[in-house]
Order: sequence, then structure tokens, then C-alpha cells
Amino acid sequence: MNITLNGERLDIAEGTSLESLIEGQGFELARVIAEVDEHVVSKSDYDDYILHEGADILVLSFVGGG
Amino acid sequence: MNSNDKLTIGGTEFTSRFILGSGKYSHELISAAIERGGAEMITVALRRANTSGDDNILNHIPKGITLLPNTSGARDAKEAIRIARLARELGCGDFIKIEVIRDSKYLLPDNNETIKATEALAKEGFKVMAYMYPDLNVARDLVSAGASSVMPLAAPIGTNMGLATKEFIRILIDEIDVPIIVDAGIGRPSEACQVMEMGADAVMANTAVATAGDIPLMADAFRQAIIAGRQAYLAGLGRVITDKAAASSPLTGFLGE
Repeated sequence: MNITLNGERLDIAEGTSLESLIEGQGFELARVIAEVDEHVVSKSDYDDYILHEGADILVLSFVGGG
Repeated sequence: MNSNDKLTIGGTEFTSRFILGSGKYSHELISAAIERGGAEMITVALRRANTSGDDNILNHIPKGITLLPNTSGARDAKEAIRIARLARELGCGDFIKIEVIRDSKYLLPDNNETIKATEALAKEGFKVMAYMYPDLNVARDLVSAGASSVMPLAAPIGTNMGLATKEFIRILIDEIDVPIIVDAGIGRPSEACQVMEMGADAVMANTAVATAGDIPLMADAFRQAIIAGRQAYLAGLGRVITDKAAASSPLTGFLGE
């Protein structure tokens, strides 16, 4: 099924959890936060959060800034 | 420096009155700048994460330093609230620097949207530090909305132009009871010293340090300037005479007498 991750289309297996996606894509789980369809997801829910077709996911982290 | 002279923001005490930004310079220099600057609070921004080989900025910020995420990129209150909630989910505390900007040339803050975001986020338990254009009525509204501090700009972001809004910052210092932290535009340690002499509670600087020839050394210069300004404020400045001189040495007992 297709999802969008940080603005790019991605084909993933059905039943993929948010945690599997984040780790599978090489993000450092402890340093990122995810939003699905503009709703922030608590980190404790990542493992149970099964992604749906068309999900729009943003994975964010802190960078330098003023 | 008197260790009893604490800066309290949202119930948290700080000894340092220098808030350091982390933008526009390498991660490798961040810990040195924090150490030389004596900063206890550092700002960060939230952006789309990178993957492979990403060296996260948090790996370079020593333990015990308070993170101040900003809402840069927000164009209205709604986006600022969204960014603040995301930042808090990263588990780095309740401080948030509200920054709402919809002007892309001069990057001036939208004070009205900043008030709206402050009200919503303060209700959610955030310790809101509101970046703002120095306007007394807005500052009062921000305090009413629950801001823990207000952060008036000295000059447009990243310009190093200095104290363009000095007299309006002076009004905020005179009238507003939450900490006044002068942010944006300060380009030299002498300017940081000057606002601290005026009674500002703290100074935030990023570009002035990031664009210096020697970043850790400039952080040290800001540290010393901010301490000097604070001490001068606490000491109370000497009086000024404009119509004549006033001898500092005795006017009696000259050689010829």
C-alpha cells in the first residue's frame, strides 16, 4: 500500500506499524517524533499504531536554530 | 557573580542570563560555545528528520542544559501550537519559544498570532517564552495570556544590527513583570551589555556568535558582557552631568598652595 513519508511516496506492506516504518527507514527512534495525518502520535503508541493506506507521515527531529 | 542572583522563568531557576542559539554553526562547536558562553538554555528548531548517518544535535548538547525548542516555520498560531506539541513529545521539557512569522523578508513576528498561541499553549502547561515586536500593549496581553517571559527583538533576526528598538525595550523593562529577554539582532557583546545595564533579565544571541571568526571565544565575550551589564544594573549606574565637569581628584592641597 502507498503512504507518504516526509513528502515522498512510499510503498509498504500492509500491517506495518509506525515503529517498524521509522526504524526500517533508518531514523533514530529515540531522537524523532512522528505525526500521522497532522496528529501527533505518542511514542508509547508507535508499536501498536498500524498505518493505513494513504497515511501522510511526518518524522521530525531537532536541528540547530535560534 | 552573586550566585543568589537567579533568573527564574516559569518556575525554573537559572544562574546564567545568556541564552544561546544553535543555528548556523557546526554541531562540533555547540558544546564548546555552551561551555565558554556559560549558557544553561539553548534553542533548537524542529524539522523533517534525516536518516542514515544523521548526527543529531542532541548528541552535542551536554546534560543539564535546558532545551528551548522554537516554533520557527509557523505562519500562524495554529501551526505554532502544532509544532509546540510535537516538540514536547520529544521529551525535552515544557519550555517553548513561540515564534510566528509570516513576513519572509524582514522576518518580523506576528504579535497577534503570538498572543493566540501563547494563550492556548500556556493552558496546556507549556512554559511559553514569546518572541515579539516590542509593543507594551502586546507584552501586557502576552502576560495575561500566560507567557513566562517575553522576548522583544532588538533588530530583525540574523542581522547583527544592534539595538534598533532600544527605547521600546526600555518601556517593557519598566512596565512588565515577567522576565524580559532581548532576542534577535544583537550583534556585539557591548550591545548585550547595554541592555543588561538597562535592566533586561537576559539576552539571547545566535547569529552574532555563529558568524564570529572564533565561535567559542565570541560566546565567552557575550558571557562576560552579560555579567558586566547585570552587575552594573545591580550596582546602579553613576549619575550623569551634562553642563560642566566634576573633578574626581580633590580640589585642595595642590603643590602651589
